[in-house]
Amino acid sequence: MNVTVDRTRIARFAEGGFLPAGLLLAWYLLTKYHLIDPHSYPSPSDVLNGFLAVWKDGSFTENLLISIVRVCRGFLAGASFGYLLGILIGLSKTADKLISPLFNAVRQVPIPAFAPLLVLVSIGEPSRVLFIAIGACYPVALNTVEGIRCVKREYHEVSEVFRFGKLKRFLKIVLPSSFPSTLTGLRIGLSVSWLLVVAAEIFMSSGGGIGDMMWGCREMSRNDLVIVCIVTIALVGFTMNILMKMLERVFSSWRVTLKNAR
Amino acid sequence: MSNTGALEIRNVRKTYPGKERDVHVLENINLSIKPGEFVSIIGLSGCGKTTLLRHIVGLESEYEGDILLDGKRLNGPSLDRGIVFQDHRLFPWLTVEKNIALGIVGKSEKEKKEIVDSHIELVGLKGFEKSYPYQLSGGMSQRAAIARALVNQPKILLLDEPLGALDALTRMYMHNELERIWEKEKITMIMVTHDVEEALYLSDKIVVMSAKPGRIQKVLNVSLPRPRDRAGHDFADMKEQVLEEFMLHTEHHFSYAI
Amino acid sequence: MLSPDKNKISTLFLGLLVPLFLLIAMELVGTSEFLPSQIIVPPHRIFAMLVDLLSTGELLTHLRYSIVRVLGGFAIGSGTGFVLGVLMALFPRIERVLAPLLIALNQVPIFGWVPFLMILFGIEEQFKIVFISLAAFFPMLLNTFEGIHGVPRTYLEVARTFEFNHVKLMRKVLFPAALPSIFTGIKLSLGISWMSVIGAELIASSEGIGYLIVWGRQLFQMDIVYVGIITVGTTGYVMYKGLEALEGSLMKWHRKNS
Repeated sequence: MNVTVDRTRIARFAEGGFLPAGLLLAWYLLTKYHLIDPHSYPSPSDVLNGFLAVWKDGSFTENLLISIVRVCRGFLAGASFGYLLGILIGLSKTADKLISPLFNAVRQVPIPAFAPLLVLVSIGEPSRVLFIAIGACYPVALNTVEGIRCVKREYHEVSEVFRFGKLKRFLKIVLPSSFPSTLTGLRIGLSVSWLLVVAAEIFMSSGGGIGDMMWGCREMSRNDLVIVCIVTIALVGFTMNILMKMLERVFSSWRVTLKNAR
Repeated sequence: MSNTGALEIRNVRKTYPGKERDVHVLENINLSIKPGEFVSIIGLSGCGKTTLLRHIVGLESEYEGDILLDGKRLNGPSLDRGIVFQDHRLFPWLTVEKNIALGIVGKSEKEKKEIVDSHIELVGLKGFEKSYPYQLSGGMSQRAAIARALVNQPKILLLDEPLGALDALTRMYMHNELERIWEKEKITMIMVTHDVEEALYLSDKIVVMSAKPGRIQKVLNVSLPRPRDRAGHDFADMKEQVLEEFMLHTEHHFSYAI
Repeated sequence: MLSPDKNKISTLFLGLLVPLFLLIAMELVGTSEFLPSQIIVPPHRIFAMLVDLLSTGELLTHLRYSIVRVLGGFAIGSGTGFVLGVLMALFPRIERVLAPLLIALNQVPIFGWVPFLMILFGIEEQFKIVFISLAAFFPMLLNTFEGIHGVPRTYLEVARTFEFNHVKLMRKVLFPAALPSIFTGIKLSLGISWMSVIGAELIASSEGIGYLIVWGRQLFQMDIVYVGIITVGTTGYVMYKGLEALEGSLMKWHRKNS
């Protein structure tokens, strides 16, 4: 019984691995027998050697760290601003009417379009961080507003029965029950931030970072290193997403128990 | 029309493989239903009544024994059996008339329209042809679902707790409607329900099922004249009789408990 | 009757208050040379530049380039995404073979592809179209797959009782049921395409709105940069609203349903 289960599992795994393995093999064979231009198309071993070289001389770690610090800065700045904005809009109808139209108008502009503007406003690191912050702010703000608006009326009624003050109601009811939605916003915000770090390092280059490194490698035709950078970028993005999802699960575990209790 | 639609269920067994031991959902089911009969299957939840119905309609087709419709063993769904589910399952993206037209095959547009119109008339939904399901009340949705199930002139109409989601008053009203439709169409109807009164009001025959394993506990013939009077003495007597079938079990249960 | 209108007007007024205030502040600061006018441009100069670029036709020429690019890339990318999404949802084997590779590729943020695509396709039109297609591909793929995969089993059972063939199942059940999700995919996909076209034009282009913005920056003409940003935002918004209107007219049943 167990054997067959394992077998189908292995078969499925094999099915999924078939295509990637085939592509890797094709890549290996094409480069090994020089069927494609070896200069433009590095072989798997070139990529590996390239990685080992930049790993040893420290430039890989250095650039990766720059990007990670940058994404943290931009994300934290944007997310905290977005969170405050979301709370404000979510709680106050006047604030909603005052701010939302402008907020929604600005939100229509794809973020890359801001890059040239930011470069003029301030050159260097602040413009890159601001660029990322803009992108991180939207999802956090929107999800926080959504979370606050969806606080169940029943909870508000409970707080009225217990005669909670405004502050207590905010701290005990509004914040905790809207937090899962905010967390979703944070997760989306972080993945947008990572996307924008790479964009920022390309649009506003020469400040270091993995995107900058990738851009430089392209200019120097170090295509092996371009591939190293792409894989790194993907892995970091993937890891951040997993971590945020774990965080979401931890913080929204009470939702599950609530469901079970019913 | 009325000479077909005879259903013969012989020694039907159904087991699901369980973790520790197999679960017997249906055990030794024997039942014969005459053409044009209205039969209710009644029982507590978990007695396998819905499973039995899903076998008759053909949504489940792995079983031991035989289910014969006019002498032919059933194997999968077919247009000669229509079904009305508890959740009306109308497609929300189609209007009432398009939902009803859904199952019609091999007819010209004109014939299609006639069939749809006559069925809308039959279930009393005139004026709501162009409405979407979200615009209908629960009772109206079930009417549309009944019309949809009838368009192919099935030999048997299966009803899986069709009125279970309706409020009590609407339900009583729908009982009359169902009876009217049944008398007009003269087809076999098999209804799963857990409402004793509903079963008594509508059925020629009530099949009482018990759980673990799902078996037929008793088949009761209801010979009260139609239309039936819910407040009548005979009706109350019959009701007592059906309820007793369930009480028997509880008494056993008590005697063990004491 | 009066108060809702009044409410609307006051909402509108409040909504315009902040932007109006900002515009006046920009105008005052910009003209007073309190800050270098390269950073804060007085709105009247932005407006004058907008009129100027419109009257020479320059703005529309650039806009046309961007729109042609985005529509081309979007059509290729979302079309491929749609077809693959449908195939993967219908055939589990295709899903099992393709999913791991696609999931891995989807981990690369879209701008991470830029240098790699430049190696493969150069920096001309071909690169841009491939880049935008790639951006449009994933959201469409995921939402189409989810939409069809998530069609409720209950609807499929209805289709089975009516003996739908594959074509009818696709046309009458799977596609309409998945349409809301597919539309979400289209909207996301077009939004990301629009962002990508601007990005691609910032990096390597000699025409298009993205290029206009970069060009303004290189000349230190902030008014051009602002006109570009406003145009990009407005165009994106109009496209999105157009899709929403189309969605609303195609799926009257959906909005009210949920």
